[in-house]
Amino acid sequence: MRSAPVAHAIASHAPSSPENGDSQERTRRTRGMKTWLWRCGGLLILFVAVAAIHPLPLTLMAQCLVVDEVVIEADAVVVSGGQACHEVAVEHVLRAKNQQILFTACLPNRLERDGVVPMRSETALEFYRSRGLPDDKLVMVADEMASLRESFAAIGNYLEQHDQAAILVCSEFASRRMRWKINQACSGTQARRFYVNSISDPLVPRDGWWKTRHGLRAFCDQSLSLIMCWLYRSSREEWRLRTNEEFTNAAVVEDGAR
Amino acid sequence: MKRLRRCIRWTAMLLILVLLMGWLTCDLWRPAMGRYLVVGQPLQESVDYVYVLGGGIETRPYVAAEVYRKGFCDELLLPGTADLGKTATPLGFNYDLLTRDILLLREVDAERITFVGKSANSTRDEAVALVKFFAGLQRMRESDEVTIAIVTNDFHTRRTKLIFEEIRNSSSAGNLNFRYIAAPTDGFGPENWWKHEVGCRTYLLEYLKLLYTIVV
Repeated sequence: MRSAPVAHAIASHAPSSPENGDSQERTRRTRGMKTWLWRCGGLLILFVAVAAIHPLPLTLMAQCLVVDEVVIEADAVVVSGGQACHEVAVEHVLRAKNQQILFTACLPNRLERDGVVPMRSETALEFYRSRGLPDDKLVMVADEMASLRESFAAIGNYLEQHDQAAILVCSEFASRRMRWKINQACSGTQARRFYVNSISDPLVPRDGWWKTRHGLRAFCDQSLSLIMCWLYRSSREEWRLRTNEEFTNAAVVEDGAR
Repeated sequence: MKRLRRCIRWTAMLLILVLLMGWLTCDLWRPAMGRYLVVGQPLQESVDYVYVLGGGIETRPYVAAEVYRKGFCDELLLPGTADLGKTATPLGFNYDLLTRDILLLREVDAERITFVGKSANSTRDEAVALVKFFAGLQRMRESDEVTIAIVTNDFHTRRTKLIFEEIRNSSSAGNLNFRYIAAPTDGFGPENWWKHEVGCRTYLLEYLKLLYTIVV
């Protein structure tokens, strides 16, 4: 004869029939799944609640995109960015008497090739001259660069050959990507010659990017770009411009509707 | 604790299975993902207007000019205003002005180009500007059906369709019929977007934007 607790244990573990056992197992799994869903939901709600009360998590997310390195000593300035970055580069050169701006020329895009707009390097040169920089402060390191990586590689080589260091001026949210691109394009000794100096954009503040659509767009764009920069670190971009025939085929099916 | 371990094991196995299946079938789903975004087609018949959306400056105006050159439309509409050059910076360009310059370069007559309103910052702004422009014209011809071909990049056509039809339906501009023309992008397309850093970024960002448009 079994004692009562043992009998109870056997009764609770041994299924009375196979169907019953399956359903018990299913119930247990569903309950486990539900618990996990509740936990994940809870964590998400907690994150949203914390983000709503205090912007720290969102600010930290933006912080992941930003690098701002302390410049020890630089002989040159390199720009990767828009108008504001070029303005800052000019300020750097005007302030420190012995600095130069290093730049590269890219392969012409369709608009440059068709003469709709001047080459970007020419526009930049014109801008620097209009800000009072003499020609000896402007050094074109290489031309016909197909990508940013190629440009950084060329500038890295130049810096090593001339035993110089450079400040790279770029926008705040693009700064970590720029650091990664430099590390991918240059050897270790060359990469250490760059100091990334990030410029904050008043339209996309680090502690308020989620408040505007522009900020949201910039954050998503730069986050994705950063991920892609890492994923495609060893690939070489092969760029092919579309032909006029492809444009015609995309536009209409047959000729002579008018 | 036992249940937790089992749960983690199952989740990990499921994740590995999903990743493995995804990797094995990537030749199927990656082009399908690209094609899903493209709803534009080349025109088969004439339209009243062609509306060239801002951005994609290296491709969209070229395709719009082809529509005009082949005789499928007589009038081209651009977002933005004739008050050009104001927003250009020393190192930037006014894209409305540039689009017009490209169209002129591609043999479109200057008097056939019309600006529909103030400069737009998003596809939604462009849709609103277009509907408002025609609301102004409707006073003159109320019952006319107007067909407008909207030129944008291939990956952008599905979101454009969603937004334009929503704006049209909400503003009772039911007499506007839209067609969508997918301008190909330099370097990559729906069939090979994942092979390029920029292509991958563009398509994934477009999916995020599509999700945002649907949800918000």
